[in-house]
Amino acid sequence: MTPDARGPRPDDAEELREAEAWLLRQASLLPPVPASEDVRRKREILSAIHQRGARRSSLAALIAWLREPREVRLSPLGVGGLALAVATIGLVLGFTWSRRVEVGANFEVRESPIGGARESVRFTLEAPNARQVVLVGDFNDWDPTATPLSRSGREAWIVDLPLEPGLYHYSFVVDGRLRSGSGGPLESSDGLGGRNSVVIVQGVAL
Amino acid sequence: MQPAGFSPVMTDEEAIRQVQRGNDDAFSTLVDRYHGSCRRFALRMLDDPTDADEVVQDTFLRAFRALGRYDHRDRFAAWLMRILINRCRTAARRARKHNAPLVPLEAASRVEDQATTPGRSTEGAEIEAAITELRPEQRELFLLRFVERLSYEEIATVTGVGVSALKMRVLRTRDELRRKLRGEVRE
Repeated sequence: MTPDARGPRPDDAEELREAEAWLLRQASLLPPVPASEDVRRKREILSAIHQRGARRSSLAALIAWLREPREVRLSPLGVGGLALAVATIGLVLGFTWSRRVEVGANFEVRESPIGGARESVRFTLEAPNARQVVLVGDFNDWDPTATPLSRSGREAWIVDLPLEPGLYHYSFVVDGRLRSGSGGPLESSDGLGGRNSVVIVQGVAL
Repeated sequence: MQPAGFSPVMTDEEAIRQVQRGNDDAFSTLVDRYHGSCRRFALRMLDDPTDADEVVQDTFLRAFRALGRYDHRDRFAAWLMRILINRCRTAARRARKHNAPLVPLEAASRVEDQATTPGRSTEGAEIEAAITELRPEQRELFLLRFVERLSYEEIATVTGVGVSALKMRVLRTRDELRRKLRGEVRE
């Protein structure tokens, strides 16, 4: 039976230590590799690095710079300034974000079924933070349960509604709250201090 | 001011950081420090000085390009060795593909300075010859563990072989090398 077939015993620490000691002794007896031309070879390597365009890309250098941990020293005044800057950025972003919930409502006429009198109208609202959006208007008697919108992508909510030609007032209910002035191209007063949007489906004589 | 005779030695870590900051000259510190061990390993793995020099040069070029991705938690010597092993394996495959004969290194080319230790040199030359006859994975392990002195964990990382399997391979390598040195032909 060959040693390979017999198989060594990896859990036999004593045998492993003996084997390591023996192999280490053999390695120590090896003649040194001549280094007489090492200087020339090293020079060639460094020359190749410079000549063959081996330089790292600026992106790689930037990544290396970003990954490198470093100590940052700030004065108390600097910390205050930094905090103020962060707070300002947060305020601006928060304001922008909150506005995004309320603006961007729109509609578009999608298609006209052949031989039908109704148009399919798509209502869209950009409300990335919303959990629920409902469409209310003349067409559903302002029923906040009748026409929910579905998420489309990360920001938009949509619903397609078949409407006969005519003029309709509408608005969106976002997370249970009626939005005033939802950003449609036409708006009208709701008589209560707020504003509704208006959609006109073609074919009606105003 | 530094004391007379004091020569600051740049650590691997410092040299790498300087290269990463754009100081390419700092790379020469790493080439100086590791060229010898890389060439020694490549020579014994490939048995061809020209191939070995080519592989070592390619290894340092690749290491230079990849330094941006170098993880400072790794030991540079082991990280460099991983590149070198891959280049050696590729070169060995290419050599086999082209039917290049694997001629053991001329003993004289490796033992230039053996005149002062004649007894040791003869024994060393025999070991050198026996190593070239080991199977590549055994030769690789012998060189990494007992010549370059990498830990089992580092060898496991650079070769992709588990620590337990490496320890088993150490025992087999010992058996095989003993047999070679006794002039026995493996059945």
